[in-house]
Amino acid sequence: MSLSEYIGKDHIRIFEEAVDQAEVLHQLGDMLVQTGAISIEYMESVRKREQAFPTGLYTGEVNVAIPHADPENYVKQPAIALGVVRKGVAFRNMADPTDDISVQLVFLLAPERGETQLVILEQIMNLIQDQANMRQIMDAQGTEDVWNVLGQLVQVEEKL
Amino acid sequence: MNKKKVLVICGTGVATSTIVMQKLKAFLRDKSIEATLEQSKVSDVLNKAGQYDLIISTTAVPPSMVDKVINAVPLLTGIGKEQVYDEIEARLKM
Repeated sequence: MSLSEYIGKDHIRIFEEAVDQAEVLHQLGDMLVQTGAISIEYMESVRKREQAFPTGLYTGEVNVAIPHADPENYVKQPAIALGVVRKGVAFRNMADPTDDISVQLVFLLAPERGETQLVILEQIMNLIQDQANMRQIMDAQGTEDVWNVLGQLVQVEEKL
Repeated sequence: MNKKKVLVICGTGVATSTIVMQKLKAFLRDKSIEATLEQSKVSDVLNKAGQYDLIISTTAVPPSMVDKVINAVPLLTGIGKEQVYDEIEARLKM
């Protein structure tokens, strides 16, 4: 499956106004619960994990966060929710938790263990290594448009 | 050259360490470096750090482990990854 299929039109939310991290996680998690991808307990794990091991990443002009947790029994159907946060939202730095990063793209990962998930994770990593792709997502108007952009992204070559 | 023991860790032992593991395998194959690779989460290795020659981590680690640890976040973001690969190679060829 491609990235756009994992994310799905129902799993994209655009935040035009200023929001905090709790609100972004809540709304992204809610979409995954609504579509039956996760049970609500998963989000509690995600919040705890984000406290202990934050997931903000400096990627250039557009920074990202990839909140996630151990799937345990809470992930019913592997999926990803994408939040486009126009004004940025603070996530702490994965490499240095004392540092706050303003991120504009939040990928809430609901992974499964195993090889198929690896393919998806690699696609996300390739995507976030390409600022042109991220800029395209930021420029998209509306969730439908964001989803179309995701579907059209040139498959970035496997990078070492 | 002794085969080094390398541990790849992240907060959950699921997502980012899997990515790093994959990239590391490809890199070592490319460089014909042999090493024993294991994957885990940071909370499981606090007392076992001594068993490994090198620890590659995507999360911050306790001060007791710092000497053995290379920060692998650049392998995720691509920014500064060359230096990380160089350091890994240097440490494994020591």
